[in-house]
Amino acid sequence: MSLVRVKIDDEEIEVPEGTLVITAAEKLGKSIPHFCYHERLTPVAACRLCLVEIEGMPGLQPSCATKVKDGMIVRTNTKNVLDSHKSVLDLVLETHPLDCPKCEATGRCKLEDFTYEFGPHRVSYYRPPGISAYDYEELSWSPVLKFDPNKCVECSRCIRVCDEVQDCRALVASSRGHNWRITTFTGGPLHCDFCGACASVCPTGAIEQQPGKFWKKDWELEKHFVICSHCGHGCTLLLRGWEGRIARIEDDFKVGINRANICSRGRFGFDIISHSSRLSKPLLRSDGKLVEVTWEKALFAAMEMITASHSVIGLASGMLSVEELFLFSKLLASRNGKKFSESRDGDVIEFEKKRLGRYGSTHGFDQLDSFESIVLVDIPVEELDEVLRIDLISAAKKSGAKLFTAGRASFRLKKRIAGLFKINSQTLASAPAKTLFVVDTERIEEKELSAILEKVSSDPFTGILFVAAQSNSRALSSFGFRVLPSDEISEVDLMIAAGPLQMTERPTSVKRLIASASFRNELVESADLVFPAALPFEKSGTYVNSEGRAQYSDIAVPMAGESWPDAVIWISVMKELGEATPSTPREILDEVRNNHPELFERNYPVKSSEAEPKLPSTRLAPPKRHRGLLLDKSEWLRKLQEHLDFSKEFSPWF
Amino acid sequence: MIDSKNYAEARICLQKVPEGPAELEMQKFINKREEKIVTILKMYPEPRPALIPILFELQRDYGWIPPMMVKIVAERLRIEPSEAYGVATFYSLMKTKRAGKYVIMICGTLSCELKGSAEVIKAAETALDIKVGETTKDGKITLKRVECLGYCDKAPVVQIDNSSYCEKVTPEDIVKIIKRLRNEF
Repeated sequence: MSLVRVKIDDEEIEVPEGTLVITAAEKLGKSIPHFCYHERLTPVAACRLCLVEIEGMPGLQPSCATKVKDGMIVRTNTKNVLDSHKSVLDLVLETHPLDCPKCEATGRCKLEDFTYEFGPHRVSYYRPPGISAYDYEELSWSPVLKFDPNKCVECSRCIRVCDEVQDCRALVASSRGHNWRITTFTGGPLHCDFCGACASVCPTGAIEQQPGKFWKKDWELEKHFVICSHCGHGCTLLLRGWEGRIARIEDDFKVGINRANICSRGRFGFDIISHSSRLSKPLLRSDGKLVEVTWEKALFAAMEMITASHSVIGLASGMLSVEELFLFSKLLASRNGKKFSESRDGDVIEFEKKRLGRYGSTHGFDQLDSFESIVLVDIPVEELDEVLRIDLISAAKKSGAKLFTAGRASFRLKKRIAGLFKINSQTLASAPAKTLFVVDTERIEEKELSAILEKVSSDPFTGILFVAAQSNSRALSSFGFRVLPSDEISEVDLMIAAGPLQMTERPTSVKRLIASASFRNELVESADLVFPAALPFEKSGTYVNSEGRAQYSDIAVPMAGESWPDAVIWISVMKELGEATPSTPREILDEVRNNHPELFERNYPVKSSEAEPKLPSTRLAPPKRHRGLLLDKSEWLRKLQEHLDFSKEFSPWF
Repeated sequence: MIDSKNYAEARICLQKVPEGPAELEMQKFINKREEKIVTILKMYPEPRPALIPILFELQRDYGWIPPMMVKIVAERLRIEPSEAYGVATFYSLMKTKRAGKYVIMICGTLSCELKGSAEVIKAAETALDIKVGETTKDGKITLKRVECLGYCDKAPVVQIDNSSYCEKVTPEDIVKIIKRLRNEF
C-alpha cells in the first residue's frame, strides 16, 4: 500500500492510503473529540463532534469519515474548529442529566473528558422550567445489562457493534428525529447472549454492566492482562480491580488475539473465584467424613496413600496449565501410573500425528479470511467457542468465505450457512481447493477425521482447525493423556484427579481417590483426600489454545483461603515422595520447553507482519504506568516462591 | 455478584407482555392473507425489501401493527424481529401502537410550530382528555404529533386519517373538528 504525506497542524506524517484523518491525527498524538467513531466500526459521521478544517474543502469536515489524500493540510486547533466542538458538546449537555457524582461511568465517560478538555465550562442552554424533555425510565435489559436512555448521546456505537461485529441485531434504532432511541424488540428484554459488547463501546454511562457497579471509581481500578480459561480460544482479558479484587472485565483492541471480542462467560464469569463453595483448606477422610486438616498432614497422607498403592492412575483436566500438566505427568510417571483425561483432544491430535506426522491445527484464527469455503464439521460453534463464531462471521464478510455445515448446524450461524456439506471421500475429492475444516475434537468420528486428514495431506491449500474444548486441552497429547475408557478401568488402588472435572462420582473400581479441586462438588465428597486448588486468575501458567499458540498468563489476584496452584501441590507431593523435581517456575518452564518444544511453536506459516511471540515475551506485561492488580506484585511472587521452597517452610518434615 | 435485585428487575421486564394479540391469533390472521403476501414477495428479487409493503398491506386490514405481526413477518422474511421493529417505528404512517378509528395528525415541525401548533396540540389534548400518542378510552380517536406534512404555506396543518387536510388550524378549530368527528359516530 502506498504512503501519503499529510500535514496536521504544521506536523507532517506519512500514513497508508485510505487512512482516516482522525486516525492520522491520533498517531501524531492530537486529541480530536468523537462519540460515533470507533476503530472497530464503520464510520457514520453522526455525532458531528470531530469536525476539522481541511484546506480546499468548504466548511468543516468530519475527520472520522474523511480519508487522507496526498498533500492534505488539516487544522485541528483553529478557533473555528474549537468553537464547533464547544457548541456540539453544549447541545449534547442540554439534554444530558448532569448527575456525574452518582453515575457509574464517571472517570471513563467520554462526554466528561471532552467537556473538560474543550468546554463549554458553563452550559448555555437551559430547559424551560417544568419541561423535562428527557425523563425516560431506566430499563433493565438483562440481569447483567441496564440502559439509561437519558444518558444516551445517540452515537449508535452499540447498534453497530451488535450488527457488524456480533451479527446479532438485538439492538436497533426506533423512531426518528427527536424520538430516535436505542431499543430492543418492543423495548423488552434483550434477546441475545449478553456479551456486553454494547456496554463496552458505550462512550457514556447509558449502557452499564451490572456486576461490579458502584464498587470503585474507574481511576481507582488497576489494570492487569490475563488469558481467559473458559474455552480453547485463549482470549486476553483486561482485569480491572483493586487490592486483589476484580470489579469488572474489559477488552483491549490492541492486546491479544481476540481483537476485543469477549463472550458473556469471559466478561461476566469472573465472580466464580469468590464463590461460596470454594475450598479453602485440605480435606482428609477420617471415620467416613471429610475433615479439614493442615497442608503438612495432607501431604503426609498423600505420601502414605501413594506409597501403599500398587496401581495408580491419573485423571487430568484440560483446564490445567502446561506446567501443571507436566508436573502431574511427572508424578504419575514416577509411580508408573497410567495417564487419562476426560477430553478426547489428546487422542485426536495423536491420531493426526500418526497419519500426517504433524501436530495440531494447520491454520490460525487470523487466517480464516484466506479461505474460500469453511466447513463446520458437526460443531456447535457458539457453545464451544463464541469468539470463533465472531471470527467466522468477519471472515465471511471480509473475504466472502462461504460457510458450510456437516452434521449439526450452529444455531446462531444459521443465517450465514450457505449449504450442507456431506463428508465422504467423493465430496472431499471434489471440494474446492481453499477449504478449511473446523473440527470439534470431542465429537469427530474416526472415519470422517481420517478422510479429512487425507484431503489435508494431499492438498496444501486445505486446512484443518481443531477446536479444543478446554483452555489447555491441546497440551494433553504432548504429555500422553488419553481419554478415560468409561468401563474399562480394572481394579485400581489409587486414582489421582487433578483440576476441574466433569466426573461426578468416584468409579466403583477405584479404591482410593486423591483430588485437587477448587469447589466442593460430588467428586470431592467421594474423595479420600482433597487439595484446595487455585483458579486460573490466581496462578501463573502457560496455556496452548486451539490454533496451537502458547500464551502466558500471570497471577492477578491472591489465592482464596489456603489454596495452592496445582503446580505447587504436585511438586510438594513429589518432594514428599523423595522424587527429584524442578522447583521454580523458571526451571519448570525450561524443562517443559526442552522436552516438549512442539507446544511452543505453531506448526504453520505465520503471517510475516506478525512477529511470532516467544516466551517469555508472550507474557503480557501490564502497561508501565499501571502496577497490576496487586498492590505489591513482588510480594505475591515471593509468596509463590515460598510455597515452592519447601526446605525452608517445612523443615521439620523433610 | 449478580444480585437478586438485578434478576428481579429483569424478570419484571420479561413479564411485560407486549400489547396486541397472541401469536396463534396473529398467525391465523396472516395466513388468511397468504396470497397478498406472495404477490408482494414476487415483486422483489429478495424477501428483505418486501417488509414495508407487507406491513402496510396487513395494517390496512388490521388497523395497526402489533408487535406479534412484526415478529411473524420478520421471521417469514428472514430478518431479525428487532430490525423490522426499527423499520416499523421509523414511519409515522405505520401505527405500532393501538390506534383509534380516526387518527388526528398535527404537524409539529418548524413552520407549524412557529404558527402555534403547540397550542393546537394542547387544545386537542384537553378536548380529548388524552396525551399525544394516546387513544381515547372508547377507542375512537388517536392523537399524534407528526413531522412535516409538506403544506407549510398553510400552517399549522392537521391531517385526519390518510385523506383530509385542514389548513390554518386554530385551537378553536381543532375543538370543532373533534366535535364533528364525535358526531359522526
